[in-house]
Amino acid sequence: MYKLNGKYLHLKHIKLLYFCIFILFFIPSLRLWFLQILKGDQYYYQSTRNSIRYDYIYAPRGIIRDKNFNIIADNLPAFAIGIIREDCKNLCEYTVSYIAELLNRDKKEFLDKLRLGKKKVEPFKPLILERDLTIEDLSKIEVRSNDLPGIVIIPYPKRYYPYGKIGAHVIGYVGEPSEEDLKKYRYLIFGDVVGKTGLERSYEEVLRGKKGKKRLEVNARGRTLHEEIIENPIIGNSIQSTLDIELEKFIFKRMENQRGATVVMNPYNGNVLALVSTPSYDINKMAHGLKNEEWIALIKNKAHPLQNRGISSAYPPGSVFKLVVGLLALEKNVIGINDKVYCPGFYKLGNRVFRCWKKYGHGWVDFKRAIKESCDVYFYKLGEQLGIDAISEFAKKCGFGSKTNIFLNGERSGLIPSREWKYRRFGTPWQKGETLNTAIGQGYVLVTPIQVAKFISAIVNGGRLLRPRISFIEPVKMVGSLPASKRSINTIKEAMIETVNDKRGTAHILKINDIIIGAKTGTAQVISNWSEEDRKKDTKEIEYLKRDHAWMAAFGIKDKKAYVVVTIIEHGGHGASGAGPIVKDIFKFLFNKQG
Amino acid sequence: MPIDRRFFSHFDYGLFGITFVLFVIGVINLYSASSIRLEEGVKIISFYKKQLVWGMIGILSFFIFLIVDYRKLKQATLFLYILSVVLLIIVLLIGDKSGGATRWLNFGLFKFQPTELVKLSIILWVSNYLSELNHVINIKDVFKILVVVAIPVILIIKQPDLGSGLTILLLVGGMMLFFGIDKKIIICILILTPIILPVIWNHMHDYQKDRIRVLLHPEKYKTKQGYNIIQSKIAVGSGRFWGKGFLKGTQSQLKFLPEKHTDFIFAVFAEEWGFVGSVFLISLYSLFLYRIVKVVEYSKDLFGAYIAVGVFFYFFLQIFINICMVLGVLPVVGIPLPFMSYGGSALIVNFSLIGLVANVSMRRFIFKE
Repeated sequence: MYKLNGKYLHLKHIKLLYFCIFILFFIPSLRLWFLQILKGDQYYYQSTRNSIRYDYIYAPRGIIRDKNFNIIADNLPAFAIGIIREDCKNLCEYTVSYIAELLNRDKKEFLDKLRLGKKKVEPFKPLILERDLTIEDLSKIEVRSNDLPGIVIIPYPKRYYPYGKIGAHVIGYVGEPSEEDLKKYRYLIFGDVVGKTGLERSYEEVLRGKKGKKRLEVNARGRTLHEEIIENPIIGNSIQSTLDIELEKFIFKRMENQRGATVVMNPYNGNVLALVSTPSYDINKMAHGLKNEEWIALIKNKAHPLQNRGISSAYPPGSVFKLVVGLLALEKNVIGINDKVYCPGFYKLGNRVFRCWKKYGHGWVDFKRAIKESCDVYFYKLGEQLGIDAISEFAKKCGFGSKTNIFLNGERSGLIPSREWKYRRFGTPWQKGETLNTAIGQGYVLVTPIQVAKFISAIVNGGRLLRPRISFIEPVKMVGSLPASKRSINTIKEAMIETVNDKRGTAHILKINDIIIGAKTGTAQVISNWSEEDRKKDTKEIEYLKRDHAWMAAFGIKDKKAYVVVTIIEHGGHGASGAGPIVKDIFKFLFNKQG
Repeated sequence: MPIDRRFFSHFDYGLFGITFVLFVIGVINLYSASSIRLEEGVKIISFYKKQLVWGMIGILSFFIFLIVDYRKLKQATLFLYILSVVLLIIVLLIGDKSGGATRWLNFGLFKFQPTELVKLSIILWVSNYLSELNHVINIKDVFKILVVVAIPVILIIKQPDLGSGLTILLLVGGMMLFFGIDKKIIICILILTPIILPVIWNHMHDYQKDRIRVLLHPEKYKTKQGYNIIQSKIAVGSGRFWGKGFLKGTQSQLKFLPEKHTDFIFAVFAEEWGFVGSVFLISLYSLFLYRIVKVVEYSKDLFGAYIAVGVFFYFFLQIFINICMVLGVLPVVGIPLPFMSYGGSALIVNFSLIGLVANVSMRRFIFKE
C-alpha cells in the first residue's frame, strides 16, 4: 500500500464519495420539499382532479299541457352516446371512426362533431356524438364498451310531442343551443337542449329544471368505480296552455291542404284556444335534429311551413277593416245610422273612379246594410269624410299597427299607414285616393290574424282590449279599450250579426240555428290593379298566387259561451266562399262539444 | 475453506442490516403498488410475493459472495468478462423480447438478464486493473479501459437498454475519477464535451430526445411523453408532508402512475408516506452508501477498496438518477431503484454486490499493518 504524507494514496479522493452522498441527500430532499411542501396542496388538488370528476344529471323539462290537461309536450327516456376525450388519449379519432362504422353512420359527420366540440366541451365532460340511440345501437356499443375507452352512454330525458304537426307553431320545439342561446341563458352548456320557438322558447326558464350533480371516482382509463349524487336534479315546472289541442287538431285537419291561419279566442279573457297555421311541420323531427337536407328543404319550401301565420304574417284586412272605419264614423257622428248613401257601383274622386265590388251597385244603403253587404262606395264616402289622420289614429287605438304582445316569439306588428309614414317611406305626400283604399282595408294597411281576433273580442265584450293569453301562468290583462261608446260598439256587433242572419249578408253562410253568430268577411287583394278581363274570370281560374286572400272574422255566442274565430285562407278568393265553410265547421265543433 | 469464528465477529452487521431494512421497505411498498382499485374493491396482484422469493435467493447469493474470498476473483476477472460479453451476444441473437427490448435469456424455469452479470464483471475487471496501476491514469489507460468497457456497453445499448449502459459508463468514470486521472485528460474532456454533445444528440432515438424535451417543458407534452412525468410529479407532490397513508395512494391505485412497479416505484412511496417518509428513505440510502464508504476507507488492499468504490458508484448512480427522474429533475431513463423496484435479476445482483463489499469489509482483518 502506498502512503503519502501519512495517508493512503488510494484514499486521496475519498472526499469525492462523501460529496456524492451529500448530493444524493441534498438534491432530492430539496426537490421533495418543493414538490410536497411548497406545491403540495396544488398537486394534491390535481391528484383529486385526476380521479374525481363531477358530472351532470340531466333534469327533465317541465311538461306542457293543454287547457283540458292533455299532454302536448312530454319527456321520454333516451340515450345518447358521447366521448370523453381525456380517456381515449390520442385514439379519439380512431374510436369515433370505429363507432361510426359500428353504427353505420357517416364517419365524416362524427369526426366533424369531434372537431367542433373540442373547444366547446369542458375537459373530462362527454362530447355528445349522437342522441336518441335505438336499443339495437345501444347494445352494439354496450357489448364492446371495454374496448372503447372514453365512450360513454348518457341517459337523458328526450322531448316528445304527442301531436306532431298539430299546434307545432304554438308549442314550438327544443334544440341544441346556438351561440346566441349560450350567451342569453348562462346556465346552458354544450350538449344541453333549449327551447327554440313557441311555448318552449317563451317559457324556457320555467320549463327548464336544474341539472343535478354527481361525483365520480374514476381510474386512469376513465372507468367509473364509485358514484355519488351530490345534488339532485330539479324537474322543470309544468305549464298549462290555454290551447285546446282537440280543437287545434280539428281546425288543422280542416285547413291542412291550404295555406292560412285561424285564431280562436275567448273574448272575455283573451285565452287563445287555437292558433293554427298551415302548412305545418313535425316538431318531433325538429327536436331530434334534422338532417341538413331536410332543414334546407324546410327553409326553401315556398309555402313557408315554419311561419306562424297567426302572428307572424301581416295581410291587408280587406273589408274586415270596414268595422274599424264604421266604428269611427259612428263615434265621430259623420253619418247617422239611418242616413242613406246611393251606391251606383262606383265612386268618383276628382277624375278617378273607385269601384264597388258589386258592379251595378247596391242602390240606397244605410249603415247596417253597408256592413252587411260590404258596400265599398259607402265606405269610400266615409273615408273621404273622416280623412286619413283620424282613421290612422283610431285604428292604432284599436290595437292595429302594434304587437298584441302574445307571449310567443316572432310576432309582427302589421302596418297602419299615416301621412308621416308615407313621407318617410316613399318621400311623397299622401294622396286622397289612398285614404279611400285604406277605408276598405286595401292599399298599405296590414294586419295580423291575432290583431283581428283581439279587435273582434273587444267588439263582443263591450270594448275591452285584452292581451291574447297563451298559458294560464299569465294573468288576464286588459291593455286598453276601444275608443268608442258602448252604443257604437253594440251597433257594430248587431251589424255583424245581421251579416250572418240576413239572406243578403255576405256571411250568411255561417248561419247556424240557436247560435248567435256575427261576422265580417274580407277579401284582401294580392294585386290591386286587376284588369277588367281578370275580374270577370272565376277565382279558380286565376293563377293561384294571384288570387285574393279570404278573411272571415266572426264570433259565436250561446248561453254563456262565446268564441271569436278569425280565419284567413291565403289565395282563398272571396271571404265567404274561401273561409266561410271552415269557420262554420269550427263553430259547429265548438258548440257541439262544449255546450 | 475454513469458516473462522472471526467471520462472525467481523461480519459487517451494519451494512447487511441497512440492506435488509431497505429490502423489507421495498417489499411492503411493492405490496401497495400491486393494489389496484376496481369496482368491487381493492385487488392485490402478487408482485410482492415474487419479489420476496427473489429476495430470499438474493440473500443466499449475498452469503455465497461473502464466504468466497474475494481475492480469488482476481484471477477470474477476465473469464467473467468474456463470459458476460458472450452472453450479451447470445441475448442479441436468441433473447426473449419484452416491451420492445431483448434483454432476457430464457432458462425455462427463470429468465436471466446478462446485463446484470456485466455490471459485476466490469466492476471486478476495472478494480483489478486499477489495483495494479502504480501511476495516475494516463491517456493510454483511458483508451484501454474505454475499449474493454465499450464492447459490452454498446451491446447493452443495442438491446436497447440505455439506462444500464449509462450506469456502467458512469460507474467506470467514477472509479477512474476516484483513482485519479491525469489533469490533462480532464481538461481535454471538458473541452471536448461541448463538441461531442451535439453528435450524441444526433445519434439518439426520437423517443430519447423527447424524454429530454419533456423534462424541459412537461406541460407541452401533456398526453404523450409528458404524461408520465406529470403524473409522477402529481403523485409525489400530492403526498404532502405526512403522505396519504399506506394503501391509500390514488395516483398508483387508479393507474394514473405509469411503470409504478419498476422505474416509478419511488413515486408510489412518496405519495403514501409523504415528505417525512421520502426523506427518511433517502437518509437510509445515504447511510447505506456511507457504510460502503467506510469499507473503502478501512480496506487494506487496493483490489478490495476498488471493488467497494465500484459498488458504491453502482448504487449511488442508480439511486440518484432514479429518484431525480421520478422527481422530474433528470430525463426519463430506464434505471430501477435498488431494493425498491420490482425485478429479480437486479435484486439478486444487488445482494451479491453488497455481499462482495461485506466480504471486503470482513477480510480486512486478515491483512497485517
